[in-house]
Amino acid sequence: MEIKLHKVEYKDFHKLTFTIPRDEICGITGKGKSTILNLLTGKLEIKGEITYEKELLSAKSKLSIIKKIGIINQEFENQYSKTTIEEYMNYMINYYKLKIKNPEKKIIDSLRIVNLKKEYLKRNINTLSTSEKKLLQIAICLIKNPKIILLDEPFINLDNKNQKKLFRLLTQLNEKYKINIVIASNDSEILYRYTKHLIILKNNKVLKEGNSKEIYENVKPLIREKVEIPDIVLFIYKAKATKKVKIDYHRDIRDLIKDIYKHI
Amino acid sequence: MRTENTTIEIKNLCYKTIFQDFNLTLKKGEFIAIAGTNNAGKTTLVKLIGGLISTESRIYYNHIPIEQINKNNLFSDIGLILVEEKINFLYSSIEEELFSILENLPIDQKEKSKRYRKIIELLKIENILTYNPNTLVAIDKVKFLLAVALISAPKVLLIDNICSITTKKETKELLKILNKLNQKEKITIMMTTSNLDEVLKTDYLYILDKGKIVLEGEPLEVLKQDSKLNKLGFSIPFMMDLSVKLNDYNLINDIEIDMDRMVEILWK
Repeated sequence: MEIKLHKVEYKDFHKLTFTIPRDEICGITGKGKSTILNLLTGKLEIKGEITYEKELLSAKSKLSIIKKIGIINQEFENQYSKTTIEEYMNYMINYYKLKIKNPEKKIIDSLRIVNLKKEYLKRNINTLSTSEKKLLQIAICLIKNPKIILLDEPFINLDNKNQKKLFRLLTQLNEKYKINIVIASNDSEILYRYTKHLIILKNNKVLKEGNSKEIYENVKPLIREKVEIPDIVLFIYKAKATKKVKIDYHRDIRDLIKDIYKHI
Repeated sequence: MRTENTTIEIKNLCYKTIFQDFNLTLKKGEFIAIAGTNNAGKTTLVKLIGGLISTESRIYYNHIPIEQINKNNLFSDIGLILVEEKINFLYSSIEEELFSILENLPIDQKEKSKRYRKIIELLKIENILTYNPNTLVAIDKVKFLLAVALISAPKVLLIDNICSITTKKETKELLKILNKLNQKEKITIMMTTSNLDEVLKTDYLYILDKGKIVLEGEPLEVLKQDSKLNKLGFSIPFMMDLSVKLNDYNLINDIEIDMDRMVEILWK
């Protein structure tokens, strides 16, 4: 589902215009990223236009649009104080008034997609690890068959192994289940590694919008605007700028080493 | 042996299935980091030392088993900061919350206001004093928790998962504050983290895996063992990773973590 903002006014944001593309994992970074995620859910009162796959957000279309969007906060809050995963998910089905023929199967399927086994149904939510909680948040989201999932700093407290696992899951949701993925993060390393499309916010405006790799590898303007740059990019930039070395930009450090080896 | 001047000593700790015969020593004035991936036992360890989970007498503070220490004294001497925990604060502003703690301290008014000013200056929280402590953004929340701990003038700070909710830039800022507290205020600090980015700023590093210390030493030396750390699930900070790998290929002789100097060394 493509989301287009056209001259949106909300709080400090003025004439906000950008597009969340349909098929790519998209990153949003900069001050106000979480507000933008909330804007995208369609729930806030705004001026201007937001269109979801050509359907304009209006009082009339609002309800059906909101249903298609899932948002995952940085921290999981067990806000309905349900003990087990099963209870929680059943509660959510009721809460959203979802018409599901076989709720039990839907719950198990959602858990399976995020690689949480059936045995987890009876698990107490409080006993889950940080990474399991993140997976559960996504499973809960999947119950309502979202067309788009918005995630706020999803990687922030995960170790490398679990980061990679989560990224594989998000890629799978994007490619196999055709769910749009939007990641709000202020970690340039994460965005460079895991997103294809990027929106950088600054001073309540869109500073850059486009291919993540291209944006980050055009270093000069980013330095000027004080945007955080991934270390690997900055290092290569410095080598190119100060020593005129002809190495290329790489996302993987091993490729960089090979390139250094050739140019030394 | 690292036994002199110990503040906290853990001897043959056993706890549930997580810790078996676990030993750890925190020396006075030291700043140590305990790094572990998700589920290594970091939070449990911090809660055990901080007296939030009770055990048999295997943990000592200044050579006294922590169970034998008056809880109020223990809590004011050892400041516990659980970054991820959701805490409900009583008051609707940071200011009021800090005042309410200050109120009950057995120190005179002059000392109270001096301490208050100092903490605000050190943490740079002047502009957020009127904010509601229950709805703070990540970096402000950590600073506020630090302020709450510092009000009691603790000797030791235990900080769990320091960079778990803040971004890289924010974590850097926090580490600067911690370094200051350690060096200027002589507070002994132990922090846990799942991320190796900031550990170079500490004196000593332990790698915790499934309740066991699997590596320890000066941070720089520990980080050199990249393949071991990768296997455990860590990612190595970029400059360290680059250094170690270039070193393996004999492209450089020493570990260099400064980016500009590295460029100079490679292409003189």
